[in-house]
Amino acid sequence: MGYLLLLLLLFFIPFLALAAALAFLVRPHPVHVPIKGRHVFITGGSSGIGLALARQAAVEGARVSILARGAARLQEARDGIRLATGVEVATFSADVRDAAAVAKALEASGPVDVLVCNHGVFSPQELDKQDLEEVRFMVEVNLMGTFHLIKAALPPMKRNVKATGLPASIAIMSSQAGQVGIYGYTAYSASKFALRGLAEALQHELISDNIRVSMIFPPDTETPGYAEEHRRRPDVTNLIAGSSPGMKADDVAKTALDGIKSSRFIIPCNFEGTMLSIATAGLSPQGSYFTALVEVLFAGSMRFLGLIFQWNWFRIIERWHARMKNS
Amino acid sequence: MASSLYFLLLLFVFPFAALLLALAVLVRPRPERIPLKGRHVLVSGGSSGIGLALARRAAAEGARVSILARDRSRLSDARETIRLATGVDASVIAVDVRDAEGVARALEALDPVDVLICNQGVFVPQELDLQSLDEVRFMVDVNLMGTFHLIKAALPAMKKRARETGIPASIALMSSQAGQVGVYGYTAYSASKFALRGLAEALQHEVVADNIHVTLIFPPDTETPGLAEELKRRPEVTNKIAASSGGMKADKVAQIALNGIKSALFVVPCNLEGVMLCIATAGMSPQPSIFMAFREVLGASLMRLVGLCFQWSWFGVIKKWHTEKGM
Repeated sequence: MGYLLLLLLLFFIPFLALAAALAFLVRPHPVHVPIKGRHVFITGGSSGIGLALARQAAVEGARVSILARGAARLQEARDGIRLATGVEVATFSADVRDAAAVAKALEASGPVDVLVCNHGVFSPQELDKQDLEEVRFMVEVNLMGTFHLIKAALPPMKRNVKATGLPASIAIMSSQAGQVGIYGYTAYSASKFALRGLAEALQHELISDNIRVSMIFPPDTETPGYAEEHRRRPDVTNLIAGSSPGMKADDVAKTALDGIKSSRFIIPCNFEGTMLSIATAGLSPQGSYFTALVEVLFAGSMRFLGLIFQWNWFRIIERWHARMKNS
Repeated sequence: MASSLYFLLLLFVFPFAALLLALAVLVRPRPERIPLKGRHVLVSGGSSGIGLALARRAAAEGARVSILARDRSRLSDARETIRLATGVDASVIAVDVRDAEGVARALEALDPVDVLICNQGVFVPQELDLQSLDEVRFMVDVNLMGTFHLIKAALPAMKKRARETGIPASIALMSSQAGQVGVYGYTAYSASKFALRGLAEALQHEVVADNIHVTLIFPPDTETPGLAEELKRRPEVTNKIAASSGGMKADKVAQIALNGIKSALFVVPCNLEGVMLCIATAGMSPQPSIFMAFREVLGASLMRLVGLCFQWSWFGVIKKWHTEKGM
């Protein structure tokens, strides 16, 4: 009986020591980022995840602005949110690729407290077959567009934080394709992986300004964007990624907003996403000591799992090519 | 007594042996050797720094070498250097990688490329808030779009040649430790380098059936003219943080890079810190090397903990610096 107790203690002590060490180490310290009564600016806000985010933020009492290219869709979105919530959102029409237009829109909207860079385009295709114009399109919109928004929003955001003493947030919509690159996604994954490098460095630069950076990693989500993308997908991509959307836009939006309010750096949206996030934690900052504990404990097994996934994917690719050769 | 000791030893060794066996079955793509002798190696950014060292070493190993860069006179000097060191006459191509058509025309005029080394890169570190969007765009265009242009231009002939000769080809991308973790001052540079990983993971899926292997090289700060330029602009905080990783000589990096390319490795670290970084950021990347996969699975947990320690240290440095500045 005594031995059992000793064994139990021997097992728990390193575990507790690790938990204690992590509680000390984790940075940046989590803060609560309130959205009620604050200015939430959402790009790609007229449809899909962006629209769901806008509606939910409006319900929580935020002052919401949405930015997109098409004036008609913006109008529809505004009417839809008014009908659903009674809240009036501000709309701004601009192409995020146009730095000057973005700056103008942000000037007109006033200082932003929570910037959600949610816009994105995705055209999956083998790089060998894809037009460089499409590659450029994804990089310009997904990556440069995000740079334009952050540059324009930062100065007034910093001033507002100083004036109110409340933390602000820059949230960036990535994707599971920003955690692992698969067949057909050279350009899209490139643009989404880039956002992580941006976010890690940006959090270093903005921590002393009390601005928190969050990245959201949804799976395939039921949106008009997904429907567009799905038509173009190579067969192999479907075999690897599955052919049905994993989540609903509203659920992704809820998870995203919760994560933003908790100032989480990495926000996965479902169980597979959580496992992916552990596998790809890399050297990202981690403010939650509990998540850090999970990451440290499961890193090795997640890497092993990842290798199994790659083994399966390469098999799928091999088999598909063999079938193509035979037919 | 002895038999129970043996039993304990076996119990301890068995899981490691089982892991090695499992990995031997799982690793993809299957490991290959990529010969350089007598084959066409193209190095972009090949007139100085790591690129020049790569070109010289490849020439010394009997490869046919082409170097690509913007400046004709630097290319001439580089060609002289290679001829003096190895007796080999390298071809030179003067073109800006941002010019997709120029790159396509240039590669069309050359023999098919067997080993494409996308080594060009520019890096201007600065806080995003202070940096001009032109500089951000410069880094994204050269480091990321330039790489897309090179791959698009080289792929068709590369695939054909690999098919005809039955010998594996290689696309190698020069990343950076800044492409594994984003730190203060590197929003644009890290974005462009993180992007290369997304590109590489997806590209490997797409070209594995064509017997082409993708390699990512992750050097630390390397003594090159490029670094000298960069150091002039580095923010103070970045200097304090970057001191965490030692510098290397260009020739050493080139030697390690070429060895990695010849072994068809997916990731190539260049020093001890690099090995730790590669284990920490292995993520979901493919891993053709059983030995590296073994290290990754066993070392992942410890490396995540080490990574969290680094972030704790870095946020401490940032906080201290801002307090001293009275912000």
